[in-house]
Amino acid sequence: MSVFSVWFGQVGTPSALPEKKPAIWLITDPSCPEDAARKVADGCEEEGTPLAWDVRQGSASDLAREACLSSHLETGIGIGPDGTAAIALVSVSEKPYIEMTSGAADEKRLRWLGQAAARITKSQPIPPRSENALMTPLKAEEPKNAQTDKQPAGEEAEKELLTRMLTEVLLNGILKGGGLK
Amino acid sequence: MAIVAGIDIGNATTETALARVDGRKVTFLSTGIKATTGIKGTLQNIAGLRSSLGMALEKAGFRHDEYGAVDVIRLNQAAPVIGDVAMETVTETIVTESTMIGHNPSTPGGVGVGLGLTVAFEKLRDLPPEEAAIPIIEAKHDYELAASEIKDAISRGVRVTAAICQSDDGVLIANRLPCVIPIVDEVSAIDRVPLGMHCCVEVAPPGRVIELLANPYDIATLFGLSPEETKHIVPVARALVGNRSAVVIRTPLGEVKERRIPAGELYIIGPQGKRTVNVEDGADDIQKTILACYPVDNIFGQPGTNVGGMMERVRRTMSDLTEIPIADVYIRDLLAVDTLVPQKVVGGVAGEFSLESGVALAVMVKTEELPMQKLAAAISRELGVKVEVGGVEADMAIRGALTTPGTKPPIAILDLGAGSSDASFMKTDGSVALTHLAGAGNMVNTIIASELGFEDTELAEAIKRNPLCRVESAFHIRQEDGTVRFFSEPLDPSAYGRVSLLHDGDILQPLMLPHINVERVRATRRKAKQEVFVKNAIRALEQVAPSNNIRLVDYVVLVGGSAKDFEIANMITDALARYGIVAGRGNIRSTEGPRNAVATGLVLSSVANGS
Repeated sequence: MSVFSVWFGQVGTPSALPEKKPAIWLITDPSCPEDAARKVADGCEEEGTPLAWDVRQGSASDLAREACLSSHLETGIGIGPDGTAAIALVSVSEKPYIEMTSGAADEKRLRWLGQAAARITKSQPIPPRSENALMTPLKAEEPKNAQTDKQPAGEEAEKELLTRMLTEVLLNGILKGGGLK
Repeated sequence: MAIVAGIDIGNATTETALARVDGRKVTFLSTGIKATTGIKGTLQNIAGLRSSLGMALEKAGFRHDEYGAVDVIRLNQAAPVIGDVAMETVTETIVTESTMIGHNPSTPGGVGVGLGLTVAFEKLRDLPPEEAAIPIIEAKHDYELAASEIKDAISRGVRVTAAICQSDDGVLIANRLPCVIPIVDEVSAIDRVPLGMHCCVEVAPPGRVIELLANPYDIATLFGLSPEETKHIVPVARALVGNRSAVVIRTPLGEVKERRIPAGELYIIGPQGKRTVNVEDGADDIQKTILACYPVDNIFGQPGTNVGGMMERVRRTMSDLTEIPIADVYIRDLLAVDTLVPQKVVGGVAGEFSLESGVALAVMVKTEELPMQKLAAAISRELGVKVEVGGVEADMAIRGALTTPGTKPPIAILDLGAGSSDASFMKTDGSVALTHLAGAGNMVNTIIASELGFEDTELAEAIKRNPLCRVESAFHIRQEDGTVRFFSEPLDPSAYGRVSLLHDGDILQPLMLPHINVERVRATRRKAKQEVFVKNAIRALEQVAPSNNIRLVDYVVLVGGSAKDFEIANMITDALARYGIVAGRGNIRSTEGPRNAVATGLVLSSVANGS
């Protein structure tokens, strides 16, 4: 059995998820390609949440609303015909909780949508929208060296490590190359 | 009848008390508070003084620039002390024998331990069968491709025991493999992972932490290390403790080179000569030595060590601020607090941090008498109002504090500010003992920022001042005491699931810090306040109390900006209750809370002086 079908399935097709399975729902406009739905599913799957997919007509916010009402996790994603997308929660009835006015065609944004929806169901922080922000490391003091004329330890060791790694790689290459000949 | 303005220029704020004085009858009209501009005692203070006085005037029904309405301005003779805070690490982690990846991706893939040689992902298809390999997958490779290549390799008989990838694909790859292997993802600097090396990857099941790679003997077992080599692996194991996933790569060419920064010694010069204490001994020992040397003449750090550099930096800052030559800057008090400092691990690959022990030092420098007369003359010229310099700040603070209902002399005042903690004690006969101690609000900020690993002082100030909560759904938060509150409007998605600060007026400020939870931030905040304010309160009272016996003090009134804090006053009340002391936040003139004590005292003293 392929593990994949557990995580993503289209409603009304043989790939559909079991009806009782808790899943986030995604409803897309017919103009939206299956690949886009799969990108959203990737975001959900990485967070460990299944995604059920359906195709209907409507605006992103209406589709998201319908989706969240079908979802056991009370969370729905809608992708509209014009590159807009939305995440709606059953509890927030007036308007979608998160709206994306453009760029829903972008791969990273689609994956972010799935990830954000999954994090909401897990009551975890929604990742920042920009890709760079995800990678920002913790700010802290670099090791410093007071009153000595040595180079800062960090740089020194980093350079050493790089040199060492390069040597390693080269040596390895030579050894392996030699072995094959 | 005259309008008198008492103005207290402090390190952080300039406070005004505006009153109508009619013979011996004083009617307070209004108060003003604004940030102090420039270093206190300098001419730059005038701008802050103008706005503070203007605020009081406006509240009393005058125009904000109607300075002519004031008959006399009384300034405090500000205490000539300035505080500063610095931070130094005592330990440091340097990885010399191995490379490690000890970061904590939120969603690593698979579970278990895998041991093998690191190999570039592109080379996976060329590997001979039976080889134990750990592919290094860069972000440019799609997870589908990664999974299918690994599957192919496995079907050819290559033992792919684990994987390391750059993008957040760990779970996606793991879900597409026929067998379960550990996958560590989100390794940002993947190009720095050495190839062709012995490597071990461990991913713990959800809710658990790694066990093997956090144990030096297990690492020794995995890599076949000698007892000496095992010694060198300890920093690696230590840095990995508490992670859900980790990677250790053995780089055999590494020459072992250890370097310890000497933390250094402090030399404390007191009336009985010089005493020495090693910073590595910790805050308690430092504090004991300082107490033994009281009253301290000067403090130096051992040259060529961390603490030596730190004390010199403090001297230079003070000298720059006060224009006193560096040789004449005397450090008269020091407060040491043990703390944790997140430090970048030297030899890490994914920007790993390790919590090293450090020490935060606050120092207090006595300056020359501040040129208040010069400032008074300048203010008089600018505003066209008569300006007097009132009595000593501590006397004024006591006069002001005694307007708190329920107090009488003998009474002690603890003035908890931003730069220093001051204490004064007034006997029944009206004589006053006085002390200034290092360490106050700014030191708390420094400790909070350091322990939580950021540099923004405004954020530290916000964490210090506001209670915490966690946003648990679009409509409710759980506060740090466990109570739940519901909101009628959906909360901002950027705060969803995050630890946030709850400002006045129900404004949420989400904390964008990695790996924090409410408990940790709360513990850090409370510990910093305890270590600085409660310790200082006891230290200060010991010095001003009759025969240095705290139990002889009956009433302690807390004043100053930090006394307004939502928990500091309670902590001190609790700590001093053990000595049978009535201690609590002041309530100046029954209306002002702990603020405005000195300014109020300045107005009241004008009556006593008969001016």
